[in-house]
Amino acid sequence: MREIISIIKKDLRESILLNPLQLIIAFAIMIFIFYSLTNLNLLKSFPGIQKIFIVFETLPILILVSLNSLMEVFYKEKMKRGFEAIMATGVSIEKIWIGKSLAIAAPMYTIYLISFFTALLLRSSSFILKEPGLLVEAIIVVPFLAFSFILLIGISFMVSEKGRTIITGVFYFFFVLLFFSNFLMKKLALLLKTSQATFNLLIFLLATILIAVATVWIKNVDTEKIILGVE
Amino acid sequence: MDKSIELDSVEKFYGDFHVLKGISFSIDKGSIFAYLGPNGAGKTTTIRILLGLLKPHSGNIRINASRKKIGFILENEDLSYRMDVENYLKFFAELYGVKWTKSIQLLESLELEGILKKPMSQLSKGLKKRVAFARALICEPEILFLDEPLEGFDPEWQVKFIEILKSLADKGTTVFITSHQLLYIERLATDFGIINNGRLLGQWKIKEVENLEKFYLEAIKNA
Repeated sequence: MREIISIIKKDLRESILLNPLQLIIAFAIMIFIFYSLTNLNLLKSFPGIQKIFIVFETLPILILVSLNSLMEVFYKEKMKRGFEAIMATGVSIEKIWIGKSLAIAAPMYTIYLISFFTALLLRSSSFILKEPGLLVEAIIVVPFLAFSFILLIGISFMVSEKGRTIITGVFYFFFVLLFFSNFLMKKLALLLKTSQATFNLLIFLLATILIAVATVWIKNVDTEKIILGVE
Repeated sequence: MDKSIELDSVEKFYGDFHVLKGISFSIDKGSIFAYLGPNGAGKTTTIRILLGLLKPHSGNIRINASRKKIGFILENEDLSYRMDVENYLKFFAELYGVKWTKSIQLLESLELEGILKKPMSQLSKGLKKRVAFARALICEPEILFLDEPLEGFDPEWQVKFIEILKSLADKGTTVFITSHQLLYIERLATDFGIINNGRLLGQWKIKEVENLEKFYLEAIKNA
């Protein structure tokens, strides 16, 4: 645990505190998104779309604003041969991965919550506050799903020799998802006619499955790829 | 004499490429062993295996020290971090589980006290190497693995570096060093081995050899 905390502290300092501009940009983007998210009158005419809207708007944003940190903490560390140095002190690759992922997720989640509640404050009333299920989805379930993606993207950076391709791929995937969200949401709203609670559970399960996949992947990862696979 | 490091018939492949071909040697505690060889001979791979970063395909390795008592300098490491020197070294002190306050004397001996608040990325190559050396010593190592540590040091610091390593060896630290700078190695090492194309050509005492450079070149030529 001590080693994980040391890694979190180091990466928080290195990629976040000494590079605060990305936090300011993340806050600006999130507050803009949440301000529109907290007023969904325009979507109320389309049944069942609100819960999907939250996923489609917040998940890509959370990943896109975390991408710079992911690059700093995983990709650049690999290029600097930093993984090698940390592993040489006897720290396992699992601990490094967890520490680094938490160092990315924790500040982004904090900014997420601050901008979310700031947006709610700026609006005198919001439908989200009237529906606890949507609130749970927005502040717990979707960030948990985003964390599972961060864990997976982190390992991809660690093991892949094509770090730049991953950065580009992740960026375009979530950007396109955001761009076509209106179209996709309406299609999905018709397909997913579940209750809010079931929807939350499904998203939570999806995140849990992704974390399980990431855990199996890191346990079986070939450290040779991390050490020798420098571009 | 107690052995610090023992390798027996270690083999390593990168895909089809046979990097280490049955490497065997042993190193006494408190000795300074220079591991010499041309580029691509397998020196860095051997160090990575000894540090536990890579697994050999076959063979046995015995390291007579706790993992938290092994210091290292890695080849081609980029220490261009935004954080300052103090935080960088504190991070490794925490990973090793040692108290940072114990490192003050070490910083003085490496003349790093004046640059503790400087960002790592602003340091010259030589200063970065000194920080890497401080990181290697922070755990009060029983064994030191140093891969091309003399690169980047100016002549003054190469001499100081040799003095520090000799005094550590006198106190019982085992030093495993790779370098192409044979003149310095001749002054520093107690023992040496030569590796060429993944095969260890032999292991000798420095005092058995009259001229290390000549001996090395002939060994490589005859291999």
